[in-house]
Amino acid sequence: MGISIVVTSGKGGVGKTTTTANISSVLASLGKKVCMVDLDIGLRNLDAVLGLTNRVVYDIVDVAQNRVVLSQALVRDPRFEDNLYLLAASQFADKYVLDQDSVRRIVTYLKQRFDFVIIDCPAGIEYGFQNAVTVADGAIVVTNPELASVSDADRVVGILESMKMPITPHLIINRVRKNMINEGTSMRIDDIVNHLRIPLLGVVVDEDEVIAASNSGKTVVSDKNSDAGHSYRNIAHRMLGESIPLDIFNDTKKVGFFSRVFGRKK
Amino acid sequence: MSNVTLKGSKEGFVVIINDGSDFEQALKDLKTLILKQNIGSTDDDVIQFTIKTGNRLLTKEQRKTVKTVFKNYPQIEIKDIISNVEDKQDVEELLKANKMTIETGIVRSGQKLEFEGDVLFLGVLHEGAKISTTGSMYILGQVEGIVQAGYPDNTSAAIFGNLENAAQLRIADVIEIITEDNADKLHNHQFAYIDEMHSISVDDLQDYKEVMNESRKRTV
Ligand SMILES: Nc1ncnc2c1ncn2[C@@H]1O[C@H](COP(=O)(O)OP(=O)(O)OP(=O)(O)O)[C@@H](O)[C@H]1O
Ligand SMILES: [Mg+2]
Repeated sequence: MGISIVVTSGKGGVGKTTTTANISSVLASLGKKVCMVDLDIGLRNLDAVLGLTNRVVYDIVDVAQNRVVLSQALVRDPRFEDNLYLLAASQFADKYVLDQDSVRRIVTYLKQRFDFVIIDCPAGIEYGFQNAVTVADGAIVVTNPELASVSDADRVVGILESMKMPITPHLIINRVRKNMINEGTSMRIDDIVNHLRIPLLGVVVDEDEVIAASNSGKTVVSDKNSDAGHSYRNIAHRMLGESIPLDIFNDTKKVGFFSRVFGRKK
Repeated sequence: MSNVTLKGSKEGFVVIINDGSDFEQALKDLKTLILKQNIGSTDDDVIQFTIKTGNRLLTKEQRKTVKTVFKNYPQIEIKDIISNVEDKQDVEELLKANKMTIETGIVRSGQKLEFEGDVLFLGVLHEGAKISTTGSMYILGQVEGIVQAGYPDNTSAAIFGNLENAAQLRIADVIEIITEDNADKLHNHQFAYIDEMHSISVDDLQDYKEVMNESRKRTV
């Protein structure tokens, strides 16, 4: 039996879909069986980020409404042999056609076939969010180093904690700008972690390569020279239980903090 | 022993309603007793009575009936109706209102914790979160959200501790918004209370006794 993990944020546009695509690709390339589920009904774009749009024939709403069986709707990513699949969101239906029971049924089935079911959650904390988080075993909360984003993440963490998931929520700080942190014009990593008080899974820099990659239907982890790609690879390894120190700010004075988080001396 | 007895004491006149008596009968006797006092309508002084009900607890209805008996005579007035016993529910509420709760958790954006009585807050109150209680609030943790003491109308409640990062302090119905302009007077060892202008004031903890004595003088 695999585990289901929802990628969520509260605030929109902080990198949930990018995170879902990248960590899923890495896990698949490491030999794990991974299925991504796009629950952002009506605004689907996980398929586009992965360059799989043309392959989508059926979507999750077709499955929920019993027009097709689940296996017919799974889109295989040919770059990862038999390891990476996508269950696409519907572009046409509105979000209320999916109820919690059908989502639970689908995710439970997928957990039997896959090691990881990674759920891309819509922004906000309403209907779609509720559906996604109630079926998940754990959550990744994505935030940007901005006040509004951190505040919404806090709101989401509060809701997640009250649901008593088997795995505590973990944090990814995305679109970090090194220069702004050094200039003191951006929130600092340790301030964000101290505020939210959940384990830090990784920090991803803001990088043109991420946008370029998703525009060409590739994930940035396939770019060996990308810092962001490197961070996503580390995040996937950490999800598998490896302890890899955070290294992106090795050149700053914050090393002590990182070693505290991961219990390691650098 | 008769159903109703009139006594003079240093607190003034006291009417004792024997708690072993039948209430209806006692009521009748009370009326007779008042009539017997021969209260002249020329006398301008209003005489006040305290009614003691012993180990009987009058219901709301019964209290009303007693009061209406007295209403017919403008020359006399009920000061208070006192019983030796208390309603169980009232007692429980009283106990709740007087207890001190210790809270240690993280209160996150969108969450709201509500208490009764005094609260010792050792946790973390995030921006967008709120803690509220009917009594006073003692803050030793970090607060960035809204702190409400004396909810909804207890103006003698106060908020103690390090309050400079809070978003708002509320006591009873008074709201103080913390801005850059007033944050620096809210360092540690401060307390916030409702002053004589019915607005929130902040003072040093060492002046607490003095301030509270002043305010007690006002309310008495
Ligand atoms: N590390 C990064 N560096 C640069 N751009 C990024 C990074 N992460 C995400 N982006 C870009 O930010 C935009 C929003 O990302 P994404 O679609 O993943 O966010 P989302 O949280 O899924 O949004 P929504 O709430 O709308 O679903 C995209 O254009 C994406 O390419
Ligand atoms: Mg998205």
